[in-house]
Amino acid sequence: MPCIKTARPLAALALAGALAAAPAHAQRQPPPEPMPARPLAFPAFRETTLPNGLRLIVVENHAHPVASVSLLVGAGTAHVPAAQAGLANVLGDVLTRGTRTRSATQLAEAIERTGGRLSAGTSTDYTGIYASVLSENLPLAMELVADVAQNASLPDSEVVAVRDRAASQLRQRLADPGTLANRRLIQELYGSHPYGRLRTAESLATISRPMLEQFYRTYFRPGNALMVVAGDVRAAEVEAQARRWFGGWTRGEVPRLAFTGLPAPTPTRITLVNRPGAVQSSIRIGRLGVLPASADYPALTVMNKVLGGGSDARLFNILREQHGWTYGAYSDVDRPVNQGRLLLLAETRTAVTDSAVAEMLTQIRRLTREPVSATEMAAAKGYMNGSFPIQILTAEQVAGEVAITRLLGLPIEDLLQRRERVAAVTPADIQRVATRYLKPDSLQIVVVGDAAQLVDKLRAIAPVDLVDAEGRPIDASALTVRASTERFDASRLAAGVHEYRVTMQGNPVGTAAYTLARDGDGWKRSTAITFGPMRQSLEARFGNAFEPREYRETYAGPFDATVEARVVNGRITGNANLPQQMGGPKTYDASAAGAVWSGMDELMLSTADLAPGKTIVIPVFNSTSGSVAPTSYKIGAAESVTVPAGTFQAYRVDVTGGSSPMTVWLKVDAPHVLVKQEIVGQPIVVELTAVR
Amino acid sequence: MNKRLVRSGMAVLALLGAASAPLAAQGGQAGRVNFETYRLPNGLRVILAPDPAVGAVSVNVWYDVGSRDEPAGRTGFAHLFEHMMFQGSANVAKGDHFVLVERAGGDMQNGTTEWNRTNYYQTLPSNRLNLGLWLEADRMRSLAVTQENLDNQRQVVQEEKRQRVDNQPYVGAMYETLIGLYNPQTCFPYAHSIIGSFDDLNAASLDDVKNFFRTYYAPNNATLTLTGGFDPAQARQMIQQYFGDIARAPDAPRTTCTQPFTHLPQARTVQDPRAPLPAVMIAYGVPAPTEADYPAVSLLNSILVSGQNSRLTERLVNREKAAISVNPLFLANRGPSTAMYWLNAAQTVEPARLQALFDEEIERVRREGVTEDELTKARNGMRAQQIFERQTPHGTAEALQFSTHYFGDPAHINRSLEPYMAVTRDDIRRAAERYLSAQNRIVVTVVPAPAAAQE
Repeated sequence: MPCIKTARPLAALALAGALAAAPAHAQRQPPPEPMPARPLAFPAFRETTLPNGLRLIVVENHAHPVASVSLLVGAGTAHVPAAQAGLANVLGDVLTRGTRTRSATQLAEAIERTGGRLSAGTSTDYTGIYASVLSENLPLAMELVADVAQNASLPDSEVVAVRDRAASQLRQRLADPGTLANRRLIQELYGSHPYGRLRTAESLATISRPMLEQFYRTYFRPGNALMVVAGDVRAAEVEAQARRWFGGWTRGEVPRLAFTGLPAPTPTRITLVNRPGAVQSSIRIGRLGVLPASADYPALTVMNKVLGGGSDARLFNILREQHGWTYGAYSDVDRPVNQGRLLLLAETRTAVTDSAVAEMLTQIRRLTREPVSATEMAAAKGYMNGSFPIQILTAEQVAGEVAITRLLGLPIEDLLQRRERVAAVTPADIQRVATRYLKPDSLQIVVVGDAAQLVDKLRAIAPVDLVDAEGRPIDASALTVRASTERFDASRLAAGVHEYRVTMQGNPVGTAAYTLARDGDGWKRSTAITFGPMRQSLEARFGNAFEPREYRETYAGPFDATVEARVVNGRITGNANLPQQMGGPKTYDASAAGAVWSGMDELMLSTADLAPGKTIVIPVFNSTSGSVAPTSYKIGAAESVTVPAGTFQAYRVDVTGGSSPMTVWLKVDAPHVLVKQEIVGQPIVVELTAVR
Repeated sequence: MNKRLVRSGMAVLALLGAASAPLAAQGGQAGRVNFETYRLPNGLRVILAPDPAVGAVSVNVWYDVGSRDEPAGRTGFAHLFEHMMFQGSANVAKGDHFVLVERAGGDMQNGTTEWNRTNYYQTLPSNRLNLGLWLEADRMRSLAVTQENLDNQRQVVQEEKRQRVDNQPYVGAMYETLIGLYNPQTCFPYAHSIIGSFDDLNAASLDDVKNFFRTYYAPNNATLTLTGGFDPAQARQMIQQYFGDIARAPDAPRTTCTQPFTHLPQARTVQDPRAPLPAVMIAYGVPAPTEADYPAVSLLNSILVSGQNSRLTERLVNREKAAISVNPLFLANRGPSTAMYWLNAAQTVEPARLQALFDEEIERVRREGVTEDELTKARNGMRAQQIFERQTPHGTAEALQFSTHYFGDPAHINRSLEPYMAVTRDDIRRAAERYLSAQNRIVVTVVPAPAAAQE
């Protein structure tokens, strides 16, 4: 029995015809029709404001003896200046790590004794502090939330640890094309609006305890906070507890956030972020959406469900099930405190990237031109309205929904009448909001992928702005690989052997030996690596001016594989029988202009004139992708590095553009031998053990 | 091949890191669950626990079959069968179960297999109760047990094993510990893995699988539980309509487990090429949930590993920094049960040192017992956990099924917290002395495999 997913462009037809189209099952009975919907009993709630300005909402739900406390403070990532982006997230992570009167351990003990939970976290518009307890422990929950909100000690050691972890996570994520695409789209849509602020290595590096303290003192004020207490509680008692624990929270002037800086709309264009050698592309298509109070929001949510809100939607059915271009394709509509956005996204193979972009645009136009069928309307509304009671099963869930509604400044009817408003949406409404918000001639499109293969095809769809992974504009002519402009002097090379050990979280897991020997009138560099059960050897032959000749990789252990490549008539040719997880069998054919073999780059750097602040770019052939990608070596400060072979003064060098970002340490004295190597985000370290 | 299949899987993996067993007990003071229970003439047991204030209903079916029911030569059948249950039936096309529930707005739908049972569940808006019952009845009556589906799902299960067991560090060793705790001669039900042997699965004929379905997926081997917002009279009528005509089968045969721990102590070393750091996994044989000592052992487990300041976490992770984490796997069986501790070594810490520190803490609790404060905290934690679990219809349904299958009576849900509240410090010290002994355990040391140790 084949899958019943649509194989025709008109999903509605396919859905309706699915049962009839399968003759073997013509006798199938349909599932029973829905019974009449029950009226939704939303728990009663009461809103008050404390004299110091703290807003309090109590939701009484006596079904289970539990209570949840959520304190939302208007102090999110949007409230942080661009130069300090990341500050609010660090704050969210250290809030529960101690207060003036309780250590981190004491806070944990206090809540765990009752079987409860205490946590904190940050999003765009706010930072939340949450406690979940049995209702008999409500006073304790409020006491602890109050303590964290008013007296967090923000210990310096925790601040440094959280900040450094955030920096290393960021570096790791910047190697991910999806992250690059999301960040670029946010910049294109929001410009200098507070929602356009992105954390960077530089902004994270500025974060210090005094800065956090300043932010915390400024924004954590009762007039800037909203507390929701839900569950088996009595409003009068909660209000008394709130006065007791939050009554002394002193008022303070909180700066009003200026939601300005949105860029003016532009005609549809594509920002192409170059990732040389990438086998997949990340596609994002976006446009600014609505403010919270917009009456168009219910229609937009139904439109989104039909277009790409899951695996039962047009984008998924067409891009994945029908064409097999992608593992998943989705859309999203959001509604934050200020300007929202609409988004379509997919990850596709390089070869079909332009087809996927074109199809996504076709689906946008189709929404504006053609009414959504009754079948699709029923499926979308069935899901949205059916799932609503399941989203408000627990006191915590109810508290979350009420809090967000109030945070957005909306009347509570927005929540209570959500099902009715969705039910009232017509196909004409969807056509109208699609036309208004998804203007096909004014969209921002971001594609992250191998620009050399994509740029011409994408230009057939819309004008293309070409940028590098750091976001700097580049010229299309730069896509032709060029030799490094640095001078490398092969006469400084000397035959010899360097030995290394490989450790994972401090435990030895392998060894590496790099041997350089004369090879006729040129050189042969051999690398032998053992890593766990795997044995890998690389052999690169090249001439006296670092011109690549032959290259060979072999693998033995969990899998066997061979890579062979050579330069003939200015082209890299050869083949590989790599296993599937490394890209499968390959035949190579790429321009050799300016390129070198993997391993040669390190020898070239050892002969170069290194100086802090300098960046050297070398195009390196990547046997997994079969293409040549410029790899950047950014020389940092000299540090004292101790490895088994001794202690050396070495430059810290950040390597990007290769298969994964790395940090290497090269000896300050020439030849600049590799002393140590770390792979970003992985606990693997390579260290020099001996020189022979 | 289908992302939806990925959600179906072995429940035991989901227990990793959970503080305690899939306990379902509930004390009287924590709120009563009112329910009614009956059997259809074909033997289907039904439990109805309506809560009119809720706008959703959980449709939950436990089949009384798990990997413990597999005899030698038939291992992996229970789990393979859970996959087959999503391959279509007379009126539901392959894969459509998930789609139909989703379009109705349903959520929390899955099927899972472990040693003691196989469960299937979904939460639906109240007015789609009829859809949930219709779907479960259709596959109970008319599952498509075809050669094509069988071949296909064998492949999927092999892929699942590669992804979730073979390609994950430590997971192979975890199973070796859980299984090695039981004597394969006298207690085969718990001495083999859930995913089973590929040789057994590959040797299975279509008739073997059809027989398995007829035997274990019969109405008289199943319990249907409804919780949440529904009208019980209407539910009874619909259950009769959808399930009433499904034929019963002869009672399913049961395997036996006696003297499970007589082969202990055991000690092994496992080379794991995917493990970045060493680990030590220690499992003790503990009594069944129905036995008098079980509540004390369970609370002792909480005192050792629940929370940032628990004994093992405080000593091994916080103070000595010898372990990165201490993960408990406290598995309640319908029979002899498991208390396992999985210790991940910190950098440069030898497994022997880690085990020595663990042993010191175990010896201390066996010698000195626990404080009144620790006991109170453990009791509170147990109570809170059970109350939190029951906030959703799905959680209540699972708790009712647990009471029914482990204690033979759904009403146990309203009294099962009592034995925990009666546990004394002395009970805990005696339980520690009796069960947490070096004679009564298996120790598996995991070392990252160096290249030379490989074939």
